[in-house]
Amino acid sequence: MSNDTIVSVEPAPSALLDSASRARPYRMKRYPFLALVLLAPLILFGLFGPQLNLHNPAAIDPANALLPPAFAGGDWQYALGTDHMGRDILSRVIDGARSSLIVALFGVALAGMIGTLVGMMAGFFGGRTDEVLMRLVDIQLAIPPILLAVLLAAVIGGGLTTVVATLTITFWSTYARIVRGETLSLMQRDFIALARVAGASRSRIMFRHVLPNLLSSVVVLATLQLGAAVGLEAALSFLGLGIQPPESAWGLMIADGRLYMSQAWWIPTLPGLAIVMTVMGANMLGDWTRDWLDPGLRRL
Amino acid sequence: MSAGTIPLLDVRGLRVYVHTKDGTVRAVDGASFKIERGEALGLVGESGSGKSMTCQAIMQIEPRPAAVIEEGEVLLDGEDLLKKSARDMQRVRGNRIGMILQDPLSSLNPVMTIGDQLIEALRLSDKTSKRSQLRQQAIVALERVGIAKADQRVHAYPFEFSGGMRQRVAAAIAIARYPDLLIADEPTSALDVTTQHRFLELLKDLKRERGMSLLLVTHDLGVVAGTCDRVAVMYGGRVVEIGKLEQILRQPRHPYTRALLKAVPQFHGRRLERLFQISGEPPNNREDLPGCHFAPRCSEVDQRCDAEYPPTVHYDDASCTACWRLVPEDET
Repeated sequence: MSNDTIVSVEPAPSALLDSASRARPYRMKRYPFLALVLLAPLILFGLFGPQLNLHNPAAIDPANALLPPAFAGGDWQYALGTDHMGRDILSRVIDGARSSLIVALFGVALAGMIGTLVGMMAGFFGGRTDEVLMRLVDIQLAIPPILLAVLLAAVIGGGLTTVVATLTITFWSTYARIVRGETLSLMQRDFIALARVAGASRSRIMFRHVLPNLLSSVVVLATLQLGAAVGLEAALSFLGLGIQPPESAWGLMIADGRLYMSQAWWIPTLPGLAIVMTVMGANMLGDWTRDWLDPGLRRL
Repeated sequence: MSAGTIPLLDVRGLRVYVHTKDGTVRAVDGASFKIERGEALGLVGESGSGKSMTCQAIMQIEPRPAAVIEEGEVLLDGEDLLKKSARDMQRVRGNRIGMILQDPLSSLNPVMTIGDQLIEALRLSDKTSKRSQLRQQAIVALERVGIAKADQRVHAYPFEFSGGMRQRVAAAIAIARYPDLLIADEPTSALDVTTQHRFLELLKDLKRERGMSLLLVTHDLGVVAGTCDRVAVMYGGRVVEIGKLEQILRQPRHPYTRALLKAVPQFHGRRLERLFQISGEPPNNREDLPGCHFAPRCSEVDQRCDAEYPPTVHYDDASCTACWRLVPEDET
């Protein structure tokens, strides 16, 4: 063997090493940085909005109608401009964040609790219980959410309660289905049989062994649905079924602003951006949560 | 094993039927056997012979509502477990009878630490001790089953353990409350041979030092040979032969046991002989056959075999068979 061959062979292993070091082992992000950046405005303004001492979001000022935002030639007194009635868009977006936050959190939390309980019981007890509960889910899935909101609005009037009720009724069935499936597969696992064999009671197995194993799916679904809930709330308010004026909501602002789109693009665009940021942030938070809740990935 | 004393476990004529939409499967079709105190009984048989279903029926964790215990008695210290209320049965599980299952990967709850799972098992019978005391007991239990650095490992999650270690943890949980009987349903099938050997040694040690009885379910005669005192052979939901380990391995009486032993690979010199196969297929236990379940595959059938199920012939306390060939002609 000549020296040349050895030299020509040499680079191969080092190239291999290089590619190995370039292909980094999967590392979980410690914090969901981007998701938090996107969601921070919603959370901060939702919590501290009233303390910021801005314009009254409902105050009408026809003299200052349709002012552009500061970055598009307006002045800083109305940083994000005004709408057709001269209301301050910044304070309305912030005020809308509060109703979005409350509505989305309540709706998703209520739906999650009901759906998880129903799904777990269906999967755990099986048989007739399962049959009845899952048919309820099927019935629910046959009702379009918007129609349901119209019906609720007709019965109890539009507003926060209607939106929360609509969200709860719309979303619980998804939890029930997913949780039932997970419960069924968990019930096949040996550790459930062994818990029975160890003499654990049914409620103990359900709440100590089944529920904790479901939580990661439920939490992931909840964060993902947070985005969907914000979207649905906006849609309902847009249609006039949700939050009622003079309260402000993003969907309502878009509905008002769409008529002035050609003259004042900022009226529907800015609340629209707020919706996009929130939904995207919630989805990213959902993905991160799924990784974080997996004990196998957490310790990497 | 003197006559007159009550055996620890006495299963009599146990029948478990599985009702499916294609008909009823007689998973266990009249199985009977006894386990004395401190004794290890091996329950062997091919897949579908009803071994696991028998164990589940003893614990009453058979897959309901499809499987139903139709008939029989499961006497623990002379008390029929099948007559006990659900609440009383809950007290028997874990306290009197422990259980290990085949798959160590799914035997432990993935979201609870090893220590918490052991503490939970201990807590079910000990409502008064402090958590720290139970944690200490858990560490001792883990050390006993050969987990190194147990004081650190109690905080670990199951995924951090290998299969063999998880099976050890499962054993630690099963014996945490000093049960009289440990049912091990194919505990080593998922382990490699070395791990398997060490785990069986552990079971033997535990049995010896605690005077615990062992019901070891397996299809591996090698496992039985190293661990058990007596062997019960199941076929088609029935126990066809019971005997001392030596006798079963050296002088099997039932034709099925003989065929089973012939099907174990033997190496004579350099030439490998073609492995013996039992011809035919295992019974599906659906049709109601009047005769012996093994008759269609048996090489020694006669006219009595198809007519009626053979009576059980007892030789002594420890052994019996159910085969017409072993019933003298004049008795019928």
